[in-house]
Amino acid sequence: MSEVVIKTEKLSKSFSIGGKQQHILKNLDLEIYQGDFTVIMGPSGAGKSTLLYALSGMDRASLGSIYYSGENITKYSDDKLAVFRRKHCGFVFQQIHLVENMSIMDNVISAGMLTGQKQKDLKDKAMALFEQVGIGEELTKKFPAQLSGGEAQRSAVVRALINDPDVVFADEPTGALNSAGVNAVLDVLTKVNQRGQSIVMVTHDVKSARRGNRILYISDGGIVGECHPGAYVSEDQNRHEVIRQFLEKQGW
Amino acid sequence: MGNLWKLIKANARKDKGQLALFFMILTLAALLLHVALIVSDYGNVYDRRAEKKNLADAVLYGIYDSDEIHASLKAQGKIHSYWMEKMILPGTVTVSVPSHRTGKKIDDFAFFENHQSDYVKTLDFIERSDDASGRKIYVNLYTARNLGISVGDGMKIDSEYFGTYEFTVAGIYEDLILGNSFSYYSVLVEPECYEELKETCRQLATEKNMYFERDFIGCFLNGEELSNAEWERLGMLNNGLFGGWADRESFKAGYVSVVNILAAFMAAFAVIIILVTVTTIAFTIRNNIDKDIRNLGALRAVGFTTNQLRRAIMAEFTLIAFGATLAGIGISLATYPILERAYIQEQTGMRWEMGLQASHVLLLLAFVLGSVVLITFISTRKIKHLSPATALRFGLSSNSFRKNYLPLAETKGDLNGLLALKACFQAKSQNLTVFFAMLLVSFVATFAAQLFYNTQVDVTRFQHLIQGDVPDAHVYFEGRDQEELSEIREKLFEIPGVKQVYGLGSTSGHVEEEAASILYSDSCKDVYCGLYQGTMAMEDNEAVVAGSLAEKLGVTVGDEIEICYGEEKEKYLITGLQQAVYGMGMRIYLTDGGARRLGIPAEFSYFRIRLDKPSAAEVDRVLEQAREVLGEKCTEVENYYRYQRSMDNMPVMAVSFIVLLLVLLSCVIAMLVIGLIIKNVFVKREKEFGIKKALGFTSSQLRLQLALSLALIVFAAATLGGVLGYGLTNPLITIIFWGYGIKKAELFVNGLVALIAACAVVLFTALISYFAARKMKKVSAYELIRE
Repeated sequence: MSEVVIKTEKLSKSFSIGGKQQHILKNLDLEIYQGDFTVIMGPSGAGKSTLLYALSGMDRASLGSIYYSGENITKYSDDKLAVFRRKHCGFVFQQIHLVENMSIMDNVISAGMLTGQKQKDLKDKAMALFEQVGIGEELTKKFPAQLSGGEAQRSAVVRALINDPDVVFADEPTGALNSAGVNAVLDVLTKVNQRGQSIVMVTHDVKSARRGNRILYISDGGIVGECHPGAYVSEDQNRHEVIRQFLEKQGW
Repeated sequence: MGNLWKLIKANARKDKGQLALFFMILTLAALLLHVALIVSDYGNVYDRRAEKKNLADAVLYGIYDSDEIHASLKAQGKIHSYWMEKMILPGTVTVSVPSHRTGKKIDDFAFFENHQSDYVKTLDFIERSDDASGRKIYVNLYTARNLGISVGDGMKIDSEYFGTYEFTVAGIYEDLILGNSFSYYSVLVEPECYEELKETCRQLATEKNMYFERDFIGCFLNGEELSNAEWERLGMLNNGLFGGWADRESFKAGYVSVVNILAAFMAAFAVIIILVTVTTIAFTIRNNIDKDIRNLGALRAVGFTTNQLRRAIMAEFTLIAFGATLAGIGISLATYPILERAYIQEQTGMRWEMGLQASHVLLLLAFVLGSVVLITFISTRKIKHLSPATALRFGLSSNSFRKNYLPLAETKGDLNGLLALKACFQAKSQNLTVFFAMLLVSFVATFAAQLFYNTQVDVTRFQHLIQGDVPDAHVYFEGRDQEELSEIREKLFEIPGVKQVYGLGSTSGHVEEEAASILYSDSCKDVYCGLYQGTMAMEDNEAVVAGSLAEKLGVTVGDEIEICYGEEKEKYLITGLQQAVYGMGMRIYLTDGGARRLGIPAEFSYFRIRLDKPSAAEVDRVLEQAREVLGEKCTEVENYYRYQRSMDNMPVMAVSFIVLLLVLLSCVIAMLVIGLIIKNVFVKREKEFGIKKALGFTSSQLRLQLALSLALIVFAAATLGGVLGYGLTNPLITIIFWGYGIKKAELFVNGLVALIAACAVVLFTALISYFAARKMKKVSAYELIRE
């Protein structure tokens, strides 16, 4: 069994919507392991994204605790959480969320400068990552609005990786992409995972879910099913079938 | 129409915070402008009432001997009829009323008899209680408000010659001739009391050869008007019969001149506030369009035309402006009677009973709505050719591939500073609007601060602007001959701290057909006359004339004018032009020798004194010493420095009070506008901050970036606003007072005050940006992104 990177204890999250309390996560206990590609699936409104943002310290729990490498991050101040995110987490969003008034390169460099890395080193590192995701140097000088969705999302992945995070959190990273874009992004994430970095990804897409070695099914604010199909192998039909059956069992 | 209405409602729901703030600011501006319109309407109110009351076209003050006066008036063909009223001028009296228990000294006090006469018929009683016990007195509105008295109050009048009289105030009336700041503190007493006073007059005339009773004559003209010069000649030809004259325009000026100044100040501030507001509306609309561009694209996609979208935005703001204007009018109508009773009546001596004026409403609506419609029309032009595909995919900015300023990979520097600068350089359009709005805010803050300084801290120049020459003290004395005067002057000069001692007298004369006050001094170099061109008259054939008078006469420095005093005429060289509100800009300054050339006695009964370092206490000290050194020759002293700064000093204090209110109002509006601008900037960049926060920027770093990205533009705007405020305060004051003869205002314009005002704007903006961005700290990165 791998080392536990993130652990939650009785994690609850509520929102006040229209003056009414909505309990999105309910007493959720969960462990995320080092080096895993954890996929979170579930119906709309189940609390997948809420869970992802709570785990990554982007949102606060209403009740319960979240531990990162044994340290309780729910007690962290706002600023300490920010430092935690910049050091340990990378983010890929469905809506991409690159800063629109910064060039692609600046989007990446600014994230890197937060951790005190030198601009020159960062540029080299960024260029290497861009090359890995198939983004040429010319594209890095452009602004997000000048790129296609796939190009922008791959750039966002580079931004997520620039600080060598322990965990990359991806919230439906392929939701807004065409099939070529989907594969490119998933391939990058798979490569990252194969290098030993943990990935936690929320998705609605079965094809994306196949990339995970652990699939959690969440419903009504709690984990109702878990599947371990083993490490991703491109054309492993048996593995695909295991995942299909698991999801079918969950009512997918 | 249904769809448009739905769009407007949807937009309003989304922008309700902004709209509420605009509603508030525009309501305040409309309120101020409406009050300015009401206040500026007193001239019309006066004309209507005067017509209704069949007021005399002019009044003359007869000195004595009624038969000769009658003969003189009948000989003047242009006067078709007149009435005559007796009045007693008791000299300086001390009036004690509940609000002034210690007594207030009044020089211009007049008793009239309460009986059926043509003059008394022109009086309109506002409050009356004839059942009041004791000796009854009726006071005009101006006197009542300035002394703070009400019907039923006790009133004690002490006079050196008439003794002490105790009255009960039995009524307050509006007097359209003698109830204003230029005239007497006039009162009506019952016939028995008037008879007692008259008897004392007779005794004083017989025993001491002192005459206190005068004739007050209201003249009606034959359709054609007597020119100023004719009135002047009428007074002078019958020298010894008439003490002076005033026509209806002059009476009116006494009622409306102070409030007209107040109206001009209020209107100027209101217009600046509306300008600031429409600029902020432009900024807000542009920001909202950027923020909501995808929603607009979606609406375009489902079939809305760009005109419909523009109309919805324009209608949203126009409706708010419409509502705010009506609210401002409503609030001003509801509250004006309170302001009028507490403050305006003190200046006008008149009642306001006009109610809602359609012309005011139309003017206000046209101005406010016109400004808002125009600015919303211009601001929504950016979506005129909005393609739904472009809006949905890229937003508006995608069409301009911007330059990447300060690329991070190649620019050395602190990350927060670099990101702030990048944000600043890349938001040119936003910067332009922020710059313009902040420029106006800074300008109004600086202008307000300069006015505050001139009306609350050092009132000297403001006093000069209103009153002309303002000394620190008056020393009254007996003795008229030159030798005695020289001796007194020498003694006063020897008192430590005294800088200037000079006499300044006045009489009336005319130039061509224009009547003018002739002022003369034995030391013209010491007289502050508001000289704005040329030099002071130093020789006996030189004169300084008011700019307004010079304009009317078509003369200027270097020209020669013929000044008339009664039958006497002399030519003088104009050496300078001067200005002051006092006397409505119709003045001539001569040396005392120059005055004597015209036959003016040019004697002085008091000297004006200025100190090196004046203060109320220092003036007291000097005056005490003056009494000591002059002994019995000194009949009275007056600490004018203290008076200038007291509430008794109308109209300076009246204007000061309104200016203080306007300054406070400007500060409130500046705060609201700055808050709105910063909030807009924050909201526009909220998602960006959310992303950055998710990536690991702390709230403090993001707040710093926001503040720094605005700092350059705000600093530049505040600096320029400060410079403009510094440079344009006097030109703006000149415009406000132009109608009063001010051609070149010279208020203190203090660089430090401008700097403080501009710094306050920068500091306040920094504070607001810090607080406006507190959401950054309170809300999680996830929520910021989601919004």
